[in-house]
Amino acid sequence: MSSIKGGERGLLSALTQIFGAIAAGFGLLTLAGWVLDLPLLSSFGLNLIPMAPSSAFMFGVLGIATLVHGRLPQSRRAQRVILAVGLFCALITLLLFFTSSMGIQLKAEHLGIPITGSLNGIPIGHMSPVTAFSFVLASLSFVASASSSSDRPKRPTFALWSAGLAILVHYVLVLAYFVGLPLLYGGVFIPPAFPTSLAFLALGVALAASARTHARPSSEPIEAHTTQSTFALWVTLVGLALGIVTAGYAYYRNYENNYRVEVEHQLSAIAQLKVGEIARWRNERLGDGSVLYNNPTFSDLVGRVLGRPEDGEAYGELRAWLVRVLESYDYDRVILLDAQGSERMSVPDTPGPVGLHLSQDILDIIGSRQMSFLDLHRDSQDQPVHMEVLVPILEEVDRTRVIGILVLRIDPERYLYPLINRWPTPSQTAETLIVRRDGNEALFLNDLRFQKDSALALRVSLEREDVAAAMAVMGQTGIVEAVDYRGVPVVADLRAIPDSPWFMVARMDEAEVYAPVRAKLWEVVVLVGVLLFGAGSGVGLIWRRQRLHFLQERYAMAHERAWLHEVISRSLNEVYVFDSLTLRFTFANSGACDNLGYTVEELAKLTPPDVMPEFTQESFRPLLPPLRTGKRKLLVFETVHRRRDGSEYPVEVHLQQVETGGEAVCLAIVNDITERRQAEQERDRRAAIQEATPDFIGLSDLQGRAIYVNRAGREMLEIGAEEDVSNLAIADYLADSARAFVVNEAIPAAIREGSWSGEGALLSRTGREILVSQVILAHRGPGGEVEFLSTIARDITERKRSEQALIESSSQFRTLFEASPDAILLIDPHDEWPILDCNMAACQMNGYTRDELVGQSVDLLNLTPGDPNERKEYVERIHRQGVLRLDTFHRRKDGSVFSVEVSTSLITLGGRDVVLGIDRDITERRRAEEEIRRLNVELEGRVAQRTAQLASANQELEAFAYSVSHDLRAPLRAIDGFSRIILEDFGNTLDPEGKRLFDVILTNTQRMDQLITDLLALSRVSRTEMQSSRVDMTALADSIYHEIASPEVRRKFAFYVAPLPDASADPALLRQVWSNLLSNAIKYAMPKAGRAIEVGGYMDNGMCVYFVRDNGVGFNPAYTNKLFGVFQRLHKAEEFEGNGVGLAIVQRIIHRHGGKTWAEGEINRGATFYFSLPAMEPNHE
Amino acid sequence: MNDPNEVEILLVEDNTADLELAMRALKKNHLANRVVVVTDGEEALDFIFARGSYSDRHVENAPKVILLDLKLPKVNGLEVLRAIKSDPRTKAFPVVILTSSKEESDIVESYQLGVNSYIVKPVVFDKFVEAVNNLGMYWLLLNQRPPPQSP
Repeated sequence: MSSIKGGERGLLSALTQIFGAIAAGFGLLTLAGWVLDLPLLSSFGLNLIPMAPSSAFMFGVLGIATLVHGRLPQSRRAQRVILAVGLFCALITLLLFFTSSMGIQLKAEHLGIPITGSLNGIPIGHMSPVTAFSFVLASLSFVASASSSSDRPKRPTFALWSAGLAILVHYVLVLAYFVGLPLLYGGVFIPPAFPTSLAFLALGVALAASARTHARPSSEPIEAHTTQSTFALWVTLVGLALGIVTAGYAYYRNYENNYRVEVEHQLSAIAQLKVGEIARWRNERLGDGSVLYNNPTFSDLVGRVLGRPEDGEAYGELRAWLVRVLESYDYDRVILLDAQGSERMSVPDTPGPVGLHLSQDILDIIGSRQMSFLDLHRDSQDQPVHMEVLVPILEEVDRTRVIGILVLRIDPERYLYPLINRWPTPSQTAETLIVRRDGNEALFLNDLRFQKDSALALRVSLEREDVAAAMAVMGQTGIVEAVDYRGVPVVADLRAIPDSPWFMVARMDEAEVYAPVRAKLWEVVVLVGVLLFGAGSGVGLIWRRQRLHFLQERYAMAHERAWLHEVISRSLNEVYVFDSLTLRFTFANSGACDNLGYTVEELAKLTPPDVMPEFTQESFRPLLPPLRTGKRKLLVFETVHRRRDGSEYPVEVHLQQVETGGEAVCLAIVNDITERRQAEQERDRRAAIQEATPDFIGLSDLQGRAIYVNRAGREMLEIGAEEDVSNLAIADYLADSARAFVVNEAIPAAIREGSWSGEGALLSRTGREILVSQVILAHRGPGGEVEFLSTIARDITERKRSEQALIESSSQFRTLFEASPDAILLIDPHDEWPILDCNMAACQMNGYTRDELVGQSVDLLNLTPGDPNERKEYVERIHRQGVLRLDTFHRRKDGSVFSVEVSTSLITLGGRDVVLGIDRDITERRRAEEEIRRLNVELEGRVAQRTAQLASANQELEAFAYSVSHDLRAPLRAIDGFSRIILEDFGNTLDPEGKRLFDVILTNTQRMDQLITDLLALSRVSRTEMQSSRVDMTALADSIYHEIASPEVRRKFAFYVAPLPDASADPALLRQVWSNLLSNAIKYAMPKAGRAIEVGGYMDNGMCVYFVRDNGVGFNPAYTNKLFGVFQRLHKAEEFEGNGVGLAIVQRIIHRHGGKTWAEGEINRGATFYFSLPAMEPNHE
Repeated sequence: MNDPNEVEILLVEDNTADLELAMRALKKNHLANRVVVVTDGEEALDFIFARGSYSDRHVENAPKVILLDLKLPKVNGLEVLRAIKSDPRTKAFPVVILTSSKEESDIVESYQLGVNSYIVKPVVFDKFVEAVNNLGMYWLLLNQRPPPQSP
């Protein structure tokens, strides 16, 4: 998405972190400086404002925040924290900006460090409004960077620009500091400190780098790059320009300063020189005077001359002396005055007025008796200037009395003025001048260069503090910049000439002083201008080139894009672009239109779900979010497109999201995969065929390593269906017998000719040899070299076996054919139906030899010739039925006729239909059949007779039993009933014996009743029809037991039924069996203790055997054979009731079923009664 | 006998000895009041269908129970049963066969014809008395007779 590459990003991140740390470092350094009271750390220079503690703190905070931002871009928590920090900083600094702009200084800014003092009137320790504003910018930039995301693309730009602005401002400030002209000092606001500006530079760079990392340029990468590079170029240009200008400026100022210093030195030197000379000169004059001052001879002479003016000699001597003085010291005039001040002698010999000036001084001198100068003066405006040395002549003896004054008049023009006016170096404006104070003015004492007749004429008020002369007179010394007598700014050296009222001003016009500097300035400006121009041109060229390059690229891109667009449009693949929100198609290439059958305009109204019948709007939309969030780059799926005409075709869709121009659109590339589908299906079909075939199909490489074995092959070789075959070597699966042949002959032949077929043998994993009919193919690669071998093998073991069997059976058959006792004939069922072949038996039966039969029509044997229609019908019938059997007659060779059974069938031998006839002489059989028939009929008759007899007998029995049961009982009932009545009604008249007798009657009637019941039961057993069904013996035994034994009885007994085999029998009769056996067991076990009855069963030799065992009184085994007899009892009636019929019934029933009964027992040891039934047949139901 | 319309038990029995015993048993159980005795099948039918000598009866005035012996002269018990159970007027009359025959065929046939109960006369008189008592208790007191059908 972004145009920033990884390396660039890494660099930017590093920049952010490093410069963030640097900015924080500045803050820390300053704080250290405050705390440790090292002001240099805070200000980086003397006389420079130090960074305020509040600024230092902000730098620390913002610096660290930026560092963290650069270091941990991924940590959301960290980002949130520092975002809050940034906002906090913005707010605080905004507040500070307002307060500092209004000049309010907050004590809080000192952060608790005691700070006092100010620098040049600026209170220190407070944030400058510029600083505060810069902090606001920085904070906002930081916040914008930290909170930027792809939804807010403008923020990084804003961050970048605000950081850039801060950088720019402070770059200028830093430059200003570097050239020694810190800005804003002396202004209304607190200026930003040097470390502050440096720190801002660092912070600005960090923030700009940070902003850059977030940049998401919204335009195309190329344009972004251009904008970026234009920006860079501008920055470079401005930076260069500022740099150049600053360098030039610095250079200039440096030069200026140096030059200035030089000039000053020059001035001072000259001034010093001059002053020295003048002082010396004055001293010399005084020296001159002192020669005469302290000269007694001269004093004497003067005294003489003055005392006696007539003394001509002295006069002449004095005069000569004076002349000598005049000439040797180059005075203008030498005058001798007397003590009153009148002129007594003068040399040269011209008169001149004494001058007013002298008068006062004369008096002074007389008073002071010291030499002195009479300063430069002018008698009147048009008189030249003079200066005198006044030498008081003291009396020779009385040195306190001044007898005369010698006046040495100096013409300054002779020496002084030239001395002054001389300037050692060529200069146009430089001069020295001397002035002296005259009242409230400074009086110029010599003629000035630029003003003639200024000597002793020009004055300057001392109030003019800017005039050099006045400054000198006021006592200022040294180099000054002032204004001279013309009002022109000059650079002047002011000195006082020692021992004189004079002041010297050595001055040069500033213009001259700075003329070279000005010239230099122009040089520098020109140079800077040239450099700027160069830089500008260079940058401009670069920019132009870049622009050109960019335009070229752009053109190329556009061209390529156009071409690409063309290609895409023309492509037969379907390419769509649709809006990710509305899903409308915004672009569809011609492939899409052609495939779908819509026009572009029609497609513009449609959405993807409209052409994909498997999707609806609701089911399609959810596909897009993963693409949008970037979770998935590409979505590939198969579906179906529906054309305009409604037909459908399978497609593969590639869906992705693309961002261009800030918008996100969805791109779909769709391939018609109809053919691919068909190919896939074809391939699948082929593969299915391969897998389904029962033949072995295998593929291997030339070295015999397997690549593929189909399902049948795996089964054949007993390899697992899923097993990986690539480890198998084909050679391992060739049978030993075939391996050499296959490897040495078959495979080379296949390689030579392309294929080989023949018979071989495979070896299964379990060692089974499989004979196969095999085809080996050699597959060549693109280079013509054989790369793969494949083989198809069919298991021919069966075939071989059957071939073998066939051969065997064929010979077997021949043997059978010949050896068969039945006559076998093969007949051709066409035309005359000739006999094709016959066996020995056929020949023998019919009395012919084989040669006599073969080739003859079958009519030879038949009595009547065959009818063609009949024969045709016969063939049809045989086709339908398969085998036809008929009894007919054959005629032997000797003419005898015999009965024969002919079985014919139609077989195919050697492709021909052949009638196979098997004849059997059935004469004997016929006879036997007749006999049987006759016997059968007889038997039938007898059976019918017997059945009838049986039926009538049964009927009789039936009636008998019925009448017995009914009729016999009625009188019994009467006997019993009436006996009881008698007992009841007349019992009181009977004695016990009588009652006893009646009881006997009653007992016997009951017994008889029981007998009748038992006999009936016995007879019923024989009578009733048996209906066999499957009987669950276990359940039956159990239920019978529960039926016949009351709960009290059951309580007394331990009854156990083992699982019994089911029986196939008449259930009702079996009930009887169980009932009798179980009631017997109960009866005979009741008297004994520990009553237990056990019922069990087992299989024995095809019979189910069941038994009932009790532990009762048992019986004497000697009488076992009597047990089952009718009315046979082994116990007396008094001991046990019963008629002796129960077991007889059991036996009769079991015998009817085909089973057996028997018993075992011992006296008092219980008895076991067994019965067996035939076991059920498996299929019996 | 009492009013032929007020009959509780119709006893059909040909054997005099049995009959005497039966009456004695009924008397013993205080059930002898409203007993009508007929001695052969034909008479039984006459009574039930209110014909012959019983023409003044009303058919719908059914006895509470008909005790029917099987072996009867003229018309035997099964025939009588068949007649009763196939006529819609009398189909609902409770019929109890009281016989000495325990033949399965008899029992089956009787139930096929729709007999309400089949009792085998015990030979022992005491048991017989008890059986009659139970009969009486059941059919006269416990059992709900079918409501008389209006003609």
